[in-house]
This record gives sequence, structure tokens and C-alpha cells, in this order.
Amino acid sequence: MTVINKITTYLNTQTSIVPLAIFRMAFGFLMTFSMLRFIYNGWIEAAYITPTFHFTYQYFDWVQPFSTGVMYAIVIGCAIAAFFMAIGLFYRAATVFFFLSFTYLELIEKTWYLNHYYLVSLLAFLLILVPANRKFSIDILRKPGIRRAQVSNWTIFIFKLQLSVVYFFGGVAKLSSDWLLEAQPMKIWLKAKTDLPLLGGLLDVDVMPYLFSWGGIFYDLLIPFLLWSRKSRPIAYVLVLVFHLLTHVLFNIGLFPWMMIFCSLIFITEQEWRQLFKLTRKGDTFKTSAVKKTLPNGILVMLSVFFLFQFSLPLRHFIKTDNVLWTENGFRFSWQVMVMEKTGHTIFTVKDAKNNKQWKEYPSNRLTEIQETQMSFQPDMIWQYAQHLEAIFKEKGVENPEIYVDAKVALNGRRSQLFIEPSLDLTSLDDVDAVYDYIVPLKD
Amino acid sequence: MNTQQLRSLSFITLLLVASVTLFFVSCEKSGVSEEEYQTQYRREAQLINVYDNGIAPLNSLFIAETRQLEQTVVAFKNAPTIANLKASQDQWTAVLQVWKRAELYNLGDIEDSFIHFEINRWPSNTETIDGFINGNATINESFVTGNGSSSKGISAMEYLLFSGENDQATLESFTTAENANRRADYLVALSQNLIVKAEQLEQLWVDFKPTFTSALQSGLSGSQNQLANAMVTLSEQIVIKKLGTPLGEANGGEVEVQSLENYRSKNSLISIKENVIELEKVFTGSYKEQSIKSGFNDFLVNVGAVSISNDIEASFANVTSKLNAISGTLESELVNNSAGVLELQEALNELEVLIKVDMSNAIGATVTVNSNDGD
Repeated sequence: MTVINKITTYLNTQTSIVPLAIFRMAFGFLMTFSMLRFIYNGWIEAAYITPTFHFTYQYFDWVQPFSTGVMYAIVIGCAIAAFFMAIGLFYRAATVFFFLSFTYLELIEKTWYLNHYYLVSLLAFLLILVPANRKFSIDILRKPGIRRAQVSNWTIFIFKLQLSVVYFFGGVAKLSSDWLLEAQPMKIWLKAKTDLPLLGGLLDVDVMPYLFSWGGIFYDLLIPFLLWSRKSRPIAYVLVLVFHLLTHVLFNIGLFPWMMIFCSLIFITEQEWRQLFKLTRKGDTFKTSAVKKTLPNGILVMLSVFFLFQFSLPLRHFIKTDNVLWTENGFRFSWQVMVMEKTGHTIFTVKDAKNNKQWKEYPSNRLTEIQETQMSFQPDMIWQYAQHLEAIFKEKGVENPEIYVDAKVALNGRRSQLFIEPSLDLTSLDDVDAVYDYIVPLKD
Repeated sequence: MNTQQLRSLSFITLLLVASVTLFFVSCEKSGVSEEEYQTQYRREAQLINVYDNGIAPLNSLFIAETRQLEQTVVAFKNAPTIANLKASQDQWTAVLQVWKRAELYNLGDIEDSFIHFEINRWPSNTETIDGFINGNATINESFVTGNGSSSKGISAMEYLLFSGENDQATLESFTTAENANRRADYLVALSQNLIVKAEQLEQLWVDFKPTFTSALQSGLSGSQNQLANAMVTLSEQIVIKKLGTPLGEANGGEVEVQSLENYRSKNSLISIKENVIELEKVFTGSYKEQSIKSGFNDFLVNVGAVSISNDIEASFANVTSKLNAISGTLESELVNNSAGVLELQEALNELEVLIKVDMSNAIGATVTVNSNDGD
């Protein structure tokens, strides 16, 4: 049997649907909570309504917000879709709507990019492809005929693989001298938490940032393998709980720990659930050896392309830049999770050489606080903002505005230093990627 | 591994974590390590120094000066002479100087109360003020209280006391001009309202003091971080609004003397000087000769950021030298030597970056975990 045949056989082998159904519920309920929290915190206004200018993603400039009422409707719709997904009601439609609406919301504003929001979009897309509503759902009450005890391995495998990608490349991202030798940014972050009751005293010990850094990288690189293995899975899930609860307590990283705790449930088999709760099997039975051809070639090709991107995107920065933390060229979509503490300060100068005039543009005058903060140390956003200023000044009657930036950035405990060549006229760059050629190399 | 083994393993893991934690906790004072205890002790000393030797005396002085101002403008209303006008102008300048020192301390409950706006919002809405004077409503302190912040406070008083091209013209606005009496009434009412606000400010700080001096945590809600952020806010205001706009940064490069904060009284330089003096005092903790000098500089040295502390002290010296290099008023310097004003702004911008980026990083004031990671 060839390797391809073995893989195909494995992917089509029938297995219990329980992990997939539990994953669907966990993910759906968490997303429902996430969207309600988004509304409650006033983030619809902060992210989509208040900004007069949006930092859009490359090739997605056409994605823009609608009016306040429509944006509320979309977010509420997204929350309802997540809830329907969780309870398994109109599953396919709910999942498609959730994926489209959530991804649309994320594409509007780049300064609100979060690694785990990106993960949500990916997982939602994968959920569209699988029959996760065939157990523990309202849909099987509506249509008892769709009830299934088994699904093909691939329907669970793709989620396990996606989560493994997050962990593993999250570990690869930490293979840097800052992380391993300087224990940064852990030194900064833990120092800010030494006032915590009980745990604070522990964090004050000099060796702790190193323990956290090295512990973190070992966790990220090893946990996927430990979760895949049946023997090590119990200890692996305990580690998942301890690690993410600790990150929840120590760092203000919102839903990320809960995402990973909930989503990692996909690794737990039906047999393990039964052992855990001392349940005996009733009704549904399955033979794990049974093989059914359920992975259509079209889906197979699509998933192959999907995971090809998943394996290559996190590595692209090795080709693009020698220091992804400083330049951020290839930083997004590559699971660079909790790897830096970065602060910046920018002032733009607009020149009209023809009329010998000059303006200063302070970002705080036109951007929201989060936009200004994020833009101050991300070159592509600095270029985008310069484009925006160019349009504003052209509208004001300045034919050929030249735009320069005075940008100072501090990374992982270093002193602030010049970030972008101050002599660069940002309007002379037609393409965002060109701005990376003008980043001043990091000192120290 | 069966369920029993899984449970045993979980229990052992939790027991291990708890034991290690308890081991370290047992070596601590009040649940924090010796180092954290020392850090919080220094932080508390700094905050008490700021309040006892900086904020509280300024609040008292501000009340005293505003009371004096009210007496002076009442005397001027009763006897509108050049001498009394000048006395009122001088006393208004004394109030301004104290306020420009107190302006830095806009944080916590004080910031939430918007009282700083009530005391000095600039520029004033002169059309509204003239509308009140030319209207029929009874003018008194409660009338001023009910009005918006852009028609009251220090800036509104400046408009009335320095409205003419010269003192004689200003005097005539209180004597022979239409509604001259109502103008004087409005001036008095403004001064009375300022006393009320000064007293409210002091009370707000008295109430907030326990919170301010006990919020010793490192996070964003800690008082030290709020103080650092207040320093950033003020230095940014000076760079952008108090100097940038007058330098013509918003109009293509033409200087705008009328955009200076105190262009009517020609006290804009004094305002900025007082702001910078107080910024430096907070940084060094040097409020009095005899007091404990616990400031950000000591804190930076303690966390090993000696070079940042030295650079900020050098930056303050640079800003001060640029301020002192302006021999006349900022209003005249802006017209005759805008390059000198630009140098001052650049020096202040360097100071702002050092405080906002370097100092804040070193003391943990900006620690938010990179936003790509969470919320």
C-alpha cells in the first residue's frame, strides 16, 4: 500500500462523531459569548463606527463598514449564528453565515487583528465542510434521518491539524534570541504582575522569566504531539488547562486561553469521555476499522491547498526579513503569539515643494487611540496612513504632497530608536511591500 | 492511562503547583516578595511626595490666589482705573502661573470630573461671552456655573482683562463701552466661580488622595502609571497644540500668534515654562529643599534604567535652555524668530518620546501585552 493510499484510508476510516459534536458546541458557545462581549464592551463603535479611516488589509480595500445600525445587526446576527451553530440548529446555514460575517468584521480594520480571531475564521471555515450537527443537535430532532454515530476521520483530523499548526508555529515563532536568551518580553510582562496576590512573589524571582520563556516554547512545540498520542493525552490536556489558565491570570489576552482550552477538546475521543464519566455505550455503535469513501476529491484538493497555506504562511517571514519582530514583514497570520512588547511614536510631515509649504500631522488628530498605537510600530500601516494623508492633502489642493515620517520604536525592553528612514517620501512608494526596504536596522 | 490514573495525575500536578507557590509565598511580606515590597515602598514614597509636596500645596495656593483675584477684580469693578486694571491683570497672571503648575495633575477621579475644563478651557468662546454680556440674564456666580466651560475660567477672564489693543482700550470696555457694567459683573462672577472650582478641586484631591497614594500596583490602573500618562498627555499638548498650531503646522507653515494659549496677555511663554517646571519636579521629585526627593528618576535607577534617567534629565536641561533662550515673549519670538520656537518644540518632542516610550516601557506603564495577542 502506498503512502497516499495509507493516508486516504486513514482519512476515510470511520470514527465516533462525539469529539466533533463536542467541539462544535464548545466553539459555538464560546463564539456566542465572544460576540455578545464585543457588543457589551462598545467595541462595535470603537472598531467600526468611530474611526474616520480604516486600515484595510492588502487586496481587501473594498471591505468597508456599513452604518451603525447595520453593523449592530451584523454582529448580533453573528452571535445568533454562533448560538445556532452551538445547538446545531440550521447548522450549515448558521456556520456559513457565522464564517462570512465574522470574517467580514475582521477584514474591516487591521489594527484590531488578533491571532485568535484569525483562528476563529479558519475553524469556522472548516466547520462548514463537516457534518458536526449529526449528533447532540436540534437538527436531528427536526430531521432524525441525519443522525450519525460515525464520521470519517478527516472531519476531526482537520481541526486537530489546524490546532497543531497554531501551537507548533507559535513555538517556532519563539525561536529567537529575545525569547530564549533575554527572556523578553516575559521580563517586562512578569515584572508588571509582581503585585499579584500569592503568585506575585513567585514572579519576582529573577529566573522566572527564563522559566516562563523556556517552558512556553517547550509547551508550544510539544503539546500538539502530546495531544495526538493516546498515551500522553491525559497529561497533555491537564497541561493545556494549567498553561492557559496561567496565561489567563497573568496576561490580558482575552479569549485566547479559552479558545485553546475549548478547542483542544477535539483531541479527546468518545472512549476517553466515557472513561472519564464512567459511561457505558448505548445505542450508537461504530467500528473504527470501517472505511467509507466520504472525502470528495474537490474537498480533498481544497483542504490540501488550505493546509499548504497554513504550513507556508508562518514561515514566509524567513524569506522576507531577518527580524520579523522589528520589521513585522510576514508577522500576521504566522502565529507570532505573545512574542513582543513594542511601543512607538510617529509624527508625519507633509510638504508641498511647489508652494514651499509644510504641515505636521499628529496621528492622534485623525486616528483612534488603538489605531494610533498599532500604526506607530507597523510599517505597512504607516505607509497606509501616508496614503490617506496624501489623499486628504490632494483634496485640499496640494498637487504633489511629499510625506515623511519621524518614527521611533522600542522593542522588547530596548531603548527607542529610529524606525523608518526619515528622508523617505512615503508617497513615492506605489506598493506597501516597498516600505520594508526603508526600515532602519535594529540596534543591539 | 485510565480515569483513575488521570485523576491522580491531575491531583499531583495541582499539588505540585500549590506547593511551589506556597514555598515562595512563605518567604514574603504581606503576600509579596521582598523586592516587590521594596518597589511598592518606593512607589508609595514617590506618590506621597507628589501629593504632599506637589499637589496639596498647589491646590491651597490656587485657592488663595483665586480669592485674591476676586478681591482685586471687585476693587476694579468699584473703581475702574488703569491701576486697578493692571492689579487685576497681575493677579490673573499669578493665578495662571499656579494653574500651569497644577495643570499636570489631571488624572483619576479628577480627570473623570472634567474640573480642569471648568477651570481653564481654551480657547474661550468669545462670541458666547459677549452674548451673555449683551443679553438680559442676571449675571452672578450661579449664572456662570450654569454655562459651558468655554465661557468661564481662566481663559475667559483673560479675554475680558486683555481684550483691548492696550490697557486704555481694555479699561474703556469696562467704563464707556456698551454694557460696560455687565462686563464688569461678568468678570467678577467669573472670579467667584473660579474660587468655587478651586475649592472643588482641592476637595476632589482630598477625597482621591487615599486611592492615589495606595494604588501601588504595576498595572495600568496604578497611580504611578497614571502619573506617567499625565506627563505624556501634557508634553504632547505642548508640542501639538501650544506650539505646533502657532508654528503653522496645521496651515502650511504660516505662524499663528493668535493660536498661542495666552496670546492676549502675552503670557504663553510663562505658561509653558510653568508646565515644564512641574513636569521636571514630578520626574525628579524635587519639590522642596528639605523634602524626600523621590521621583521617577530614582525609580528608573532602581530598575536599572540609569541611562534613560540621565537622558531625560539632559532632555529637561535642553528644554529649559531653549525656553531661556527666548528673551522676550513667545508671541514676539514666534514672529521674529520662529526657528527658536521650532527648536523648543523639537526639544519638547524629544522629551515626550523619552517619557512616552522609554520611561513608560522601563517602569511598565505601557505594559498591555501586544494587542495582536489578545482581547
